[in-house]
Amino acid sequence: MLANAALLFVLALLAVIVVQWWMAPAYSLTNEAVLEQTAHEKVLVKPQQLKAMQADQSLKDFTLLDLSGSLKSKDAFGAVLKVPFAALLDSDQLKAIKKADKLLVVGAKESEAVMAVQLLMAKGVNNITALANDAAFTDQVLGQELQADFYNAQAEKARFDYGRFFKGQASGNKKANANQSVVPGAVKVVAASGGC
Amino acid sequence: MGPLIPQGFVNPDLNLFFAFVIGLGFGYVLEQGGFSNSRKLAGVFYGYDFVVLRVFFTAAITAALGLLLFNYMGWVNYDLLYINPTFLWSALVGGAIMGFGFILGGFCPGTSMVAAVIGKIDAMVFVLGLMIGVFFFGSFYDEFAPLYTSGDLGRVFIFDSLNMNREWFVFLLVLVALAAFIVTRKIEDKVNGLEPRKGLFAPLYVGPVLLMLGVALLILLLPDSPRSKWFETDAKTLLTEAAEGKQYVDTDELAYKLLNPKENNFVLVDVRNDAAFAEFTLPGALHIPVAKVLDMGYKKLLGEKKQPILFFGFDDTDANQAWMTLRRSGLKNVFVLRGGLNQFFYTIFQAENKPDKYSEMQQFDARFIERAREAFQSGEAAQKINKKAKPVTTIVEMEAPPAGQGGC
Repeated sequence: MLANAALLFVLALLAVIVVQWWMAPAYSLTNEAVLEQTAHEKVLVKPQQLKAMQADQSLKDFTLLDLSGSLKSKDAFGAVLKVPFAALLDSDQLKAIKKADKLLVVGAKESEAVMAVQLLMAKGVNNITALANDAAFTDQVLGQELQADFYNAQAEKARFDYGRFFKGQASGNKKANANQSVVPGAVKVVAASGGC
Repeated sequence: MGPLIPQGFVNPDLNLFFAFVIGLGFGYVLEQGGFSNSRKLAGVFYGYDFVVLRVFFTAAITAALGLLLFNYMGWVNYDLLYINPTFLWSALVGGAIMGFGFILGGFCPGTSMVAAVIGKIDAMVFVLGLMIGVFFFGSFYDEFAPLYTSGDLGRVFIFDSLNMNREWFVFLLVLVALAAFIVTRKIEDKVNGLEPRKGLFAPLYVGPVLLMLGVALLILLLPDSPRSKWFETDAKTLLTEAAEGKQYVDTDELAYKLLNPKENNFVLVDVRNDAAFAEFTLPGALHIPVAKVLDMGYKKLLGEKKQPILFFGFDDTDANQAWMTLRRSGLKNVFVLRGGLNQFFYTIFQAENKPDKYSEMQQFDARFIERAREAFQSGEAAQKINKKAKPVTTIVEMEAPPAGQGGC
């Protein structure tokens, strides 16, 4: 009786595994492994690295995956694949992408390129990195002498002194100042502009 | 309760209740297995009854196989198991004392309790002796401590010591257990002067034996975890949503909600690094760096939120990364601030608005932006939101018990 119950329990477990396997979407890499590679490791090629690769001709070893369709400096790369972002996972496109040894992805936005890298890694594409910034910026970097300000340019940089514009207690570390009784000008602002 | 509390399977308040119920079940199984009989227990030392070896070996391989299988399925997190450290010399001396007590009294601590509960007097005497031993050890702990803590090997696994793969070790353990079952059966027959029984196992055990072998083989072949899980979102859906920009929330919407906290149902999550977060973040935002969004505590916290979760960074690269990771892992209510803080600040504070030239709607938008700018600059918005930004800490912190505690 107990042996039969144990047997049934294990068989039920195996059935659950089979059903879960059947229901699971087709990925070649776990979510954790993709995040590990895209967030912990460096998947973004910065302008300085790109310029160095152009100088030593190693850029010719790469196939460029152009998601924007607007990149002009195609000659700098070994080969160029133009694939619209929305068609990235179409089977024909995916086949062509998987044939490339080393891939560099550029998008209309940096975030588009990084998302493409995430999806392609999950689908089993190896040796893939994204170009920081967008296609227009890449053209600029490849087409002229790199300005010092652009060495490490990427989208994820602070462009404002946020605290200067956004007054009050928005800092993650400083103690909240939200109970301050009078905020100079606050009432006047409400009366003046109306809002929505 | 090992990994069950931090994974949310067991309510921490019911910890002792579940321990009590499991204890009752364990005692019942021991009693039903004949473990309240000291002659049966001592039989393993004399060779006439190996049921102790068979039961505990079966329990060990069932637990090992079950743990690895559940770990594969994501029901139990193997990494959260607390492993007792090994103190070599106290283990050797303690093992010898326990073995001596076992053969002398015919019980081990657990089985003596079971036998005492069903009224066996020898077991009650054994339990009394056990209690005296515990009291004696506790009273003279300082004298025993050097031996008790000597030979500290830390948390070691046999398979690590053998430089072996964990799954291979379990597979070999199953084979060793099966071999032990066969050999002990032969020894029993010989010692008891019985006609040797036919076959390696009793026919009743063939099924379970094959099952054990099958599961061990399965574990050997399976990867550490499935490459995709049944609750995950498929890649094409992710791509479609990303290409259509369905994940984006615009600056205007966030600004409106920051100015009207009663209507703000967003859980704001800042995915930037620690330094950037410490310098500035939006009012009330949680801090979960993008690389940590899948950490158990954070994922659980976000998964439990009923409100929409809005990720933001400097731009939207990191936030989109967090979005895609969590969308893939099955969360539906996650969004990204379009263009991140940079776009937010550009729209509110820097973009030029010339409402006179545009439509009524555009003029309305421009007036709103102006109103938001003044509210943010004056500190009014932050004043309205009566909560400060806070980094998210891990939900459950497991505290390891003092060295040497635990075990059976």
